[in-house]
Amino acid sequence: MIRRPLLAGHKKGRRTGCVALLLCAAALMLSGCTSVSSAWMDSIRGMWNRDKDEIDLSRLNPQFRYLKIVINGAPVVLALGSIDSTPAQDGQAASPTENWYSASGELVRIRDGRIVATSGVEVADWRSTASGALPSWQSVAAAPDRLWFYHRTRDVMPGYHYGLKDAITITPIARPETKTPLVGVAPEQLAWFRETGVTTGADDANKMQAAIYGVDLGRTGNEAVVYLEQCLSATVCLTLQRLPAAKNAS
Amino acid sequence: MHPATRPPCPQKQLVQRLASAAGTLFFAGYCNIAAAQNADTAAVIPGERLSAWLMRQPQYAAGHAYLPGVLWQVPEEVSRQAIIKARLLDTLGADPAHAALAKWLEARPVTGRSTVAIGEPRWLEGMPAQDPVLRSGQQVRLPLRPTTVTVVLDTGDACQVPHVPGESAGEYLRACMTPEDAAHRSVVWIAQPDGRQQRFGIANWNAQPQTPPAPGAWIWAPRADSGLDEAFSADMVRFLATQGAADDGAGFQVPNPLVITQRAPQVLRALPITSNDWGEIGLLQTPTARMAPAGDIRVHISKVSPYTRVSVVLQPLDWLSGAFRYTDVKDVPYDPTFTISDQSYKDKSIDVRVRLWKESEHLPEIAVGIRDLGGTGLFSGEYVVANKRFGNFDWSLGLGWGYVGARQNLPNPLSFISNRFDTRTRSTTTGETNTSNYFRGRTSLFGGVQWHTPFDPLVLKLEYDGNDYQSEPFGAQRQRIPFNFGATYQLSNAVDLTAGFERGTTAMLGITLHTDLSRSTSPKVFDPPYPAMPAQARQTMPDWRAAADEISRQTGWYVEGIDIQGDTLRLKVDDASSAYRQERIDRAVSTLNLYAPAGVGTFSVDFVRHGMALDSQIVNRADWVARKTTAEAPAIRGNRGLAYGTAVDRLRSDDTVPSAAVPTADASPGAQAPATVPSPAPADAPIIAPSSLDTRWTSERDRLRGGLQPSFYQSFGGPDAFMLYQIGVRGWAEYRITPQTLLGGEANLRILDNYDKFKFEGYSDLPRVRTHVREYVTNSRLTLTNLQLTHVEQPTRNNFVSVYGGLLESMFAGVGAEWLYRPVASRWAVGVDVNRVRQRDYDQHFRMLDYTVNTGHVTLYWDTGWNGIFARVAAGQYLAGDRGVTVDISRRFDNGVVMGAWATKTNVSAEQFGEGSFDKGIYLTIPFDAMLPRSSTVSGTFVWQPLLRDGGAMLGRSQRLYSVTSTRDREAFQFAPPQDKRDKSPDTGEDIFAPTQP
Repeated sequence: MIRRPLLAGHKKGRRTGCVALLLCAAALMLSGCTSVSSAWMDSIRGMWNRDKDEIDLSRLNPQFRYLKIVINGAPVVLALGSIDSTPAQDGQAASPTENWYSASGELVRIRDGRIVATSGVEVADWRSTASGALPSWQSVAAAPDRLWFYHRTRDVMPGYHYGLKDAITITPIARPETKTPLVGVAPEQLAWFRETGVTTGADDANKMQAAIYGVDLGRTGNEAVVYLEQCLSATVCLTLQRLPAAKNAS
Repeated sequence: MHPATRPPCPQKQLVQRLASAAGTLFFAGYCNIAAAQNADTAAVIPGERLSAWLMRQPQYAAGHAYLPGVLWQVPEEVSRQAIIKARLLDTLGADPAHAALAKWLEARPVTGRSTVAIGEPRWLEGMPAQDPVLRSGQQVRLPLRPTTVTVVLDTGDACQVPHVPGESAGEYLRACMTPEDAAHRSVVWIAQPDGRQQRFGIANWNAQPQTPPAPGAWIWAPRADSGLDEAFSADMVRFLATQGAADDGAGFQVPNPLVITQRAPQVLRALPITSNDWGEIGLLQTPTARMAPAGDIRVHISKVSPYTRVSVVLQPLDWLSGAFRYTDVKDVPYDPTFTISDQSYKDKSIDVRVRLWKESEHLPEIAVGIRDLGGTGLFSGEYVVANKRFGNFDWSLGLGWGYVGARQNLPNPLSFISNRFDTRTRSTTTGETNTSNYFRGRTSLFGGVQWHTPFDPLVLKLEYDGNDYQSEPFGAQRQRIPFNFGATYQLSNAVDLTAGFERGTTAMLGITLHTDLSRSTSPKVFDPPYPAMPAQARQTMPDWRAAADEISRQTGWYVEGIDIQGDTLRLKVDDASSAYRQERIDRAVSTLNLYAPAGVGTFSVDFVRHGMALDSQIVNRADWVARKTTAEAPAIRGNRGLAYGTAVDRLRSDDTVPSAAVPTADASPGAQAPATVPSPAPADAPIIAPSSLDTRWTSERDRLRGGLQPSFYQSFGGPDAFMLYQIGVRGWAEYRITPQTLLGGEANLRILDNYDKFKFEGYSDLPRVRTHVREYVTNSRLTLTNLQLTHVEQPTRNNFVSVYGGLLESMFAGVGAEWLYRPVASRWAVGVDVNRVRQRDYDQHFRMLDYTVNTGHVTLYWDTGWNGIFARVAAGQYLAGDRGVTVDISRRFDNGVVMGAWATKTNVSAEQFGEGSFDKGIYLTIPFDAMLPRSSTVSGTFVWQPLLRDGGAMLGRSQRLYSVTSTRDREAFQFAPPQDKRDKSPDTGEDIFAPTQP
């Protein structure tokens, strides 16, 4: 498993990397009469290779379930730690909430394919969300011309941005406009949806960004979100896909 | 007033008046913890994790729990919090006007709250180091989500306002009182429901961006005329933070005006701090009294014909900044004969600015500054300036002398002291420090205003210039109007662009790159992952070589040896230069815990250098494991049994440092018992023999160390070219003949350079000990910069001695000896070095020139303990045979960055010394730990010395004992990546469980 915090790959992390690269050059200048350590070379090497990391599926334990998160081309693997049964509430039907963990201990909670909470993500942490009744993906797909709409409140850290209100619209789309890092599934095998919304109470960094869902409407008789593009903030965006660990592990 | 939700303890008042008695405080705490119980406090099962407790609460399962408000109550925390409460009540009791507030406060319980990093139990499950194991007597409360924010009024009432996302604390304040009353409050304090505390300015003169209060937050903002000072408010918000989330109903409710009016929350902005044409904080040509935050560094380039200025400004303290600058003067040749170069004239200067008074509600900020301190004086000037902020406008008014006040339309107000202030002599080009010119001559007013426009990145500037440009050093400039105007666009947090129109005739363009180096940090994404935490210690002997290699990989330290003595495993490491030692000790102990067999109960990390024992950090294994696997309240956790304590702890544990150098393979006569009581080894752990020192691994065979690295040398501002540089490869090697005797050397191969431009041969009335630098750097491509034999001894615990001989530096060879007295973590150290040296030939090989000299110094090192200021004073004879004193003052920031300056004054006259009058310079040291995404034991140092002259020149020795023994620095184990100082946890203000590496 790649032992890297989620933060390491996000946009700000990448900018940090670029800044660090500049700082490396500055360090070389600064070093003047001192030595340039192997750490300097390791940093250059690491930044050069950071986007070339690939997940070695053969190393994944088939007894566990994994989630691949890609942040600006850098993949991170999360493992399923537990599943909570969430009772029906606020108009939502009862459904399980999955708890996925990174090697650095960050938690991503997913319910019905949507990120409902994160914990420990340093730059943009959705500590909790609450949504009203959600339409099923199948119903949205069946009536694409209808306005599908729901409300969500978010508590976001850092910065105590609590109670942000998202008014979200769901729209079926033919295909994502940008290339997706889908693995093992052809895009045309999935139904695609976009969620857009308006946020009240948020600064620019925490306004809701559009999300893209790739849904398998017919898998084992139930709909299932296979792929997700989601921004946790204006600068922290990720894609998410369940890994077919059992199929690829040997 | 709404009644308090929790009944007061009957004996509270008496008990709190006797707060200094620990036993009584315990009683008080017991009483209050009991009082804090209510319906949402379920009993804990001793031994269960907090995460387990949380998950079995019905409100969590139902999704209604408010996790930031988790109130973990620990009896051991009660006494410290009771002291805070008693202190508050004492202050309030002194003034009858605060009786109502005292009564309200008295009714609040002392909860014993200890903070939890993140209250989400599923996250806590994955982070055992953050997940407390609940003990008997502890309680937990899990509140429902409040809908309000609570303002504590100085009338003793709690005012509750419905929470609105993004609304700032000032708006809640205004909802609870009249606008007139709110206008009397300039600072607001917030206790967030998770216990973190914040302080923000909200008035016209000190407004700053702020994070909004979360539901359940407490707000405290006393009137400026209340007589309650900052210390009281800091205590108040600490105490409020111990209360947990403020429940709905804990006060009287008022509507939220924002909800009624449907307007957007007000966004407060910070005062833009931008550079003027000279790089200093200011408008265009004129300075202001504003200061950048301590740690700020800015590089500024501006062009306003005929001048192009490049300035580097350092801000070592909140009230002190320094700068150095090159000013290029168009169409004026540096070398009028054009024999050396045809570049234009470059003037060098050093500035200093000091804030005399910080802005308050009614008084302006005041600063005094000197430009071109000790330079040529061509642009020298002095000023006193005041600033007052009114919302988005910041007004400045000042009085300038010299270049700043060259209009000279006012008499010098200092003339009433002496008529010597009436006249100012014309500047020279010798670079003398014309102290006799400071604040002399006629003056001029200057001033202006900057407007922070509604378009946030844009700042507009208008100023009245105190210079009429009729006395310019290279000819008068035309000025049509005395006003300059311009705009600064803040492109990002690090880049400002400025454009302006000055003198009514000339355009100006400028760019500023700036950052706060004291906050500099980089996530270590390329560090190796932490060693795994084993479920239980191994029962067999490990591969110690592998353990040593892994420790080196994790820390970057050389591992000198691994010994076992009784149940203590002693790790000897060689580390002279790491910045962030805490992190490295933690990684070393993690590795030891993975490899060490079950019988080892204590780890001792012994820092050695050249065989000398410098310091030890003792780690109780069981305590360390406990700390890594469970969260504890600060009062329980403390530093007991753990490494990297405070300097005071280190002084107390000085006995643990072996008293003499101990070769790895020998028995250790100086080794002493660890400071802490080790955990008893399991009965079935026969691996460790309870005998004397048992060497498990030693690096004795690894006597040769070395490496190749790229090298880069540069110098700026000379007459030959603005920048001279060389790029090459440097090789170094070190062979340890014995642990205390080593032969070391360093060579450099110059590959690429522009030394064909290096023609200036220099001149000097003194022995040419440094000014032959051109010959030294251009004579040979392969140079041997150092080759010396060094032997060190540690005759007693705190005394260090070295003798050395060889090619000591690039220009001198010889022999010498040094003695240093330096106790562990002491603020003071003193050393003496004596040397007999001879000048090396220019090729830097083995030939010598004729010049010989005795040189040496008595040096006093002083860590003042005040604002990170460190001082070094050295007195003695220098290379040119001159005698004098060097004073070096530096500021060390918590993240290891150092900003410093030095000056040397010897018995050489200013005329003999030449341009500059005396030796001086500025330096900046940045540990690579603070800037690279991979940990490094190396630091980079940038030195700016306006001129390299022969007076006040010190021998550039390597292996200086003060550097060799740097582990004994008082702050050696304190440097770490910066934390957000605005957010504090309850009670101690420091003890907060932040997410850490697993």
